[in-house]
Amino acid sequence: MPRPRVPFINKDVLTLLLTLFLSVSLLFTRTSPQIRQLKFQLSQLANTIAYPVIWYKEVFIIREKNKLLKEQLIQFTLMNSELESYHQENVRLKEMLNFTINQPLHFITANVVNHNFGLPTNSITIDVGAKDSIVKNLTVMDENGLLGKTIQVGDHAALTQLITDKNFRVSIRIGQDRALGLFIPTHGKYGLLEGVRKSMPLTEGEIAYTSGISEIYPPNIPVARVVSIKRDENNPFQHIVVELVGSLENLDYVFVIL
Amino acid sequence: MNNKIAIQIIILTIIVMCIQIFIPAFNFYNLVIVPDILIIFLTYIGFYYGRFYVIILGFFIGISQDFITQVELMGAMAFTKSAIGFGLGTLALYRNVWSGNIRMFFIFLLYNLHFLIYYFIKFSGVPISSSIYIQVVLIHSLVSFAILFVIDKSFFNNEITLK
Repeated sequence: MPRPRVPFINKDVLTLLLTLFLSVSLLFTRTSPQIRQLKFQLSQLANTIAYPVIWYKEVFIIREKNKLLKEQLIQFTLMNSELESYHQENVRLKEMLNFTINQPLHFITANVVNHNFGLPTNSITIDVGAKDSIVKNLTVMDENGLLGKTIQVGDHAALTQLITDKNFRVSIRIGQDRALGLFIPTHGKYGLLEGVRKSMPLTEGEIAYTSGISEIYPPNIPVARVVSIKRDENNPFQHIVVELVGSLENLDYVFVIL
Repeated sequence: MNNKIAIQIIILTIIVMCIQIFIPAFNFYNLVIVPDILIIFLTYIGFYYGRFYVIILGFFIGISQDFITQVELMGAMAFTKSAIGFGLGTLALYRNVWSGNIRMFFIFLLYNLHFLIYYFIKFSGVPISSSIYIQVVLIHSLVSFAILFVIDKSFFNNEITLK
């Protein structure tokens, strides 16, 4: 009984396939730039051809992810409703304790039109004034932290005392215990925190925020970052050197908190 | 194919390869083009002895050509010559069916395919325009085809091209 023959698979085709295979193997053992580029092009072609397969697999992966996300969504929805109830409880408790709710800050943006570093007061002039609802003693800050306060207001401009001015002082809170202190500028972007008691644990890099005690500055505005701490046995307070978080170089825009 | 013919073909192959070495080259867009007479030799082998022998001969001629002229692209000529060997062997199958014109057209297409693949490998990663690439392929094919035409008319009594 004769063996069934497979059409198109004969001696010639097999020889062709063998020689082509040998040639391609030889060609791909080379490391010349042309061959590297050829390999790259072939891999791109293979990628393009395989794209539907990858896409099909990705659909399944996305379906799995979607399932997981739905599960997470349910968990978060439950958590959210729990948090909402805590929030309501918090509001109620605050009302019972006569706490006032902190309003979100309202501010306007101002351009810096003049730097007055030569004057006795280290200050800048901004292009907003009384016509823009600016009054004296408003907080001026940038996106990083406190920069100063308005000290003189005209119709369309205001003079702002910078935080680096020698006469500038601001009450701060720092650390886990939110210990009170006073920021005093020294030179450049550096300053000192005075009045922070020695028992207060502090680490370098911690941020001092405005305390909110003063009527001028709202609470929790970043002021300065701790650079070094020294504890002297004869002194009840720590000697804390800080650097300003607000960027005083190349001042272009500032925010005035109303 | 008996042993005597096989030995004759091997000797003939060596002679043609030696002739190929002395074929003058010409410049086109600063590219050195050497007319390929080995492909013409393969055309005759394909026409008279069929696919199997022309594929094997094409592979060995290609490998030798790669080894002598372009070690960095070793396998490129072997690949193209084996591939068109399959096509050239088809000439034997349709020897009494195709007219001279169809045969010439078919051979010209195969030459084009040969140089298309070869220059595609050679110009990979080389900043060269598609128009120059096509021109080089066409010119190389035309030159080889013209030589085939002359040889066929001079030594083979228009065996391939007109009968």
